[in-house]
Amino acid sequence: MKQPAVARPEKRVLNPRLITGVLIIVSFVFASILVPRFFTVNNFFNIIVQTCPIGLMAIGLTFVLVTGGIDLSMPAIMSVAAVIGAMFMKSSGSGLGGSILMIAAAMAVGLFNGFAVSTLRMIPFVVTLSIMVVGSGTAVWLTNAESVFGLPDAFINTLTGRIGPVPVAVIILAFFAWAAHFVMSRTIYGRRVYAVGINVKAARVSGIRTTRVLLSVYVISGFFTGIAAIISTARLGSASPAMGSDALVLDVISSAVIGGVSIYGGTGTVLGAVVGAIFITIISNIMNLLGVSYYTTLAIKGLIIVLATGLDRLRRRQD
Amino acid sequence: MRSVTLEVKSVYKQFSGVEVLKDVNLEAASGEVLGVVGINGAGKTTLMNIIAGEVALDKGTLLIDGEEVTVQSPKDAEKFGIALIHQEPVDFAHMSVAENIYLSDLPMMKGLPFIQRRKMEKQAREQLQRLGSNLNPGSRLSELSIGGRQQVAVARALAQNARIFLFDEPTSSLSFKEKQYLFDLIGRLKQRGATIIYITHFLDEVLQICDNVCILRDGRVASSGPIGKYKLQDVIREMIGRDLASFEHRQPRGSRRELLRVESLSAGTLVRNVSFSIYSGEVLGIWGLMGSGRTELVRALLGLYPVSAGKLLVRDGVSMRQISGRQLLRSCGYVTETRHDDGLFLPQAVWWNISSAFLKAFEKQPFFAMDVRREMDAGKTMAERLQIQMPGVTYPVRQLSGGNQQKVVLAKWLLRQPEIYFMDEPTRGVDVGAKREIQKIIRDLVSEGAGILLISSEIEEMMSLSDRIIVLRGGTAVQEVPYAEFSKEHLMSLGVGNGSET
Repeated sequence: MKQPAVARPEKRVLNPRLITGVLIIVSFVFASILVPRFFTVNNFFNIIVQTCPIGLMAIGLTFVLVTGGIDLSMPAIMSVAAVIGAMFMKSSGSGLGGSILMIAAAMAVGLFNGFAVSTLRMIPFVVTLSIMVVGSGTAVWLTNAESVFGLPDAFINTLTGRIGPVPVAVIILAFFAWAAHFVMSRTIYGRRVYAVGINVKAARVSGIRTTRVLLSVYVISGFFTGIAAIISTARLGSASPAMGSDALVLDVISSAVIGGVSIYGGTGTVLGAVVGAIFITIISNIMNLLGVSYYTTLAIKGLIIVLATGLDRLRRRQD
Repeated sequence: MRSVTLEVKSVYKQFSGVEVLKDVNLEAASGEVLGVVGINGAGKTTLMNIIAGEVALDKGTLLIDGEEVTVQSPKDAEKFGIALIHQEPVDFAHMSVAENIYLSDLPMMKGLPFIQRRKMEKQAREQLQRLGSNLNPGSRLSELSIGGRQQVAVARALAQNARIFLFDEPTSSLSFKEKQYLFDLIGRLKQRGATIIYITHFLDEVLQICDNVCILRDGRVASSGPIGKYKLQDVIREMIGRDLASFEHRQPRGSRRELLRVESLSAGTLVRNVSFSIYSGEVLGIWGLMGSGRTELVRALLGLYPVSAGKLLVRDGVSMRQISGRQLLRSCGYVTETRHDDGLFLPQAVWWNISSAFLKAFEKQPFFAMDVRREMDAGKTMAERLQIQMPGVTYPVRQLSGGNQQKVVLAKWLLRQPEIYFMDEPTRGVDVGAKREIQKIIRDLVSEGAGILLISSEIEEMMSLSDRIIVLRGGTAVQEVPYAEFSKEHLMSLGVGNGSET
């Protein structure tokens, strides 16, 4: 095939990155009008605390999306992991043990997803959609659809507390966002993840163990799901199958996509996804304050993800 | 009298700061074929896209019959009777030939939303016959060869009253016979007084069918005039801007150290019990026709294709050590057959691509961060060494010309400094200039002691680069031909076989 010497000139009708920025600014302006004292340090922390579970899962999802895959099972796995961990905490009284169990459980499911996708070459959408259903079902089955209360105070107090003025949850999110961003943007591993997402065949020829990379991103996504389970459980003071509602899947995916992570793989950053998660949280808050009903909110969020994927498509065309 | 139909006057065009066309002038007359030639990246395709309204020009004018026109979209071009015939026409594959021809002006039944199919097919048949084509107007486009699709594209353009035809590298996907049809068709268009612009980098075609030639180099018209003025050598010199230094003949090389031994490699039905060795300082050619298993052989021995039997041994000091295909893949250089498919990360920068097979070398301790600055420097050094033309190392590979992209692939492997290279069609789809440079790189590598396994469909290239050639047929190594016995006839007959062997 013949190539032109250089690409066609870009038809810069709209700059998608600019649109994302404008949307975020508009949402801030709205929020500041609707919410008294929106621009205060405390309120800022509150928003970040609320962002935490979505933000952590969006970080994990970024790894998967960059390889060109998707993980729909995260919120469902979060509730299973939370329920299992909480039951353990309740019986043993060990907050730490329960937390580790949450992470381990979520990573085990991630390992299964990864194995199915990388080794069995199953389609990520189908695998994780099925596992999502398995997860929600299991969570209800384990608990009889009831919340698990009676968690150790130390566990709840530590995670809902503050270090100086800063909530612990904020520190956790900030730390993981930074660490994951560093891994993706600066390390050999991150480079491999992008290489697989851009051109898996070229990556294999370049000596990258593509199966291993694909497997690993689902395990990482499981890890972040586990952390999200811990934070959520501590904040609610209980674990329940309802924690990982189906609507949450949409929030997590919208966060990443609005933050510039392409669902076609190969591009996007962790920090972008976290900013996207903050945006989604603010939107939810605004609609809550406006008294918009839950179902209308769902409809609006659905539209947001359509808009975001549309922008993603535009961006892709420009690259 | 010669009537000039299309004139291009001092056209300029730049993309992202790179000047692609500089003060380009050309004239195309009715009833004549103007050949536009140039190496990849010379600006041929951009120029055609400007004439066809697919790309806007920065400066300059287009004149048709002496009148200035503005062609800003393919629709405008159609209005002025300009038709661009693509290399591999993309039409409506599931519609019939006739429907494709009359797509924009289907003959309808009066007042009814029904197509007069009979009438349409009759008209289509007549139109095609005028072009010397006997395609069946009722057959689906998807059933046609690329040559047939080109005929349909030309017929459609005629049905839309086109009189300026732009052919963009039309023969690159055609068989020999189809090529003759195409030349015949161009002859007929000429007789009807059409103006034809023919882009190619196959010079024999230019000498065969063009009346005038316009040679582009680095976005400028290097030379133009009636074809009778030029000899083949002149055209080549103008295209690459320097004289062809004929290759020095290869001198016998020194130490022959065995670098890799392949023992009885089999992979399914495509590779059957093949054994050979690669020595340092030599190019081992693997010659065979399409389907002979030459690409599969390499992919199998690098663990990219399932192997059913066989053993690999590499040099380890004084002895040979057995390794797996995957291990070999991680320590050798492998230029794949198709750079877009599995050679490059197209949206990424040049430096990113160059370091992609050798990331470990740029890992910084502690914290395992990549030393991006050093990567970029390494990319820059490599790009200079291989003379990759680009605005900078941060430029996306997608936007480079074919020849430069191929050099990026080479740079990626050279950075690893391996002892063994596998090169599958290393000069496919690159222009004359880049081809020579790549061939020189191959010679240099070998003289520095590397061992190279070369696959090429071009028998001349095989013979000029290889020290010995193993001929594959049906997945089996038929014979090893030493340098002294190289001849086209010999290699061809071994590759084709006489039918009695299996």
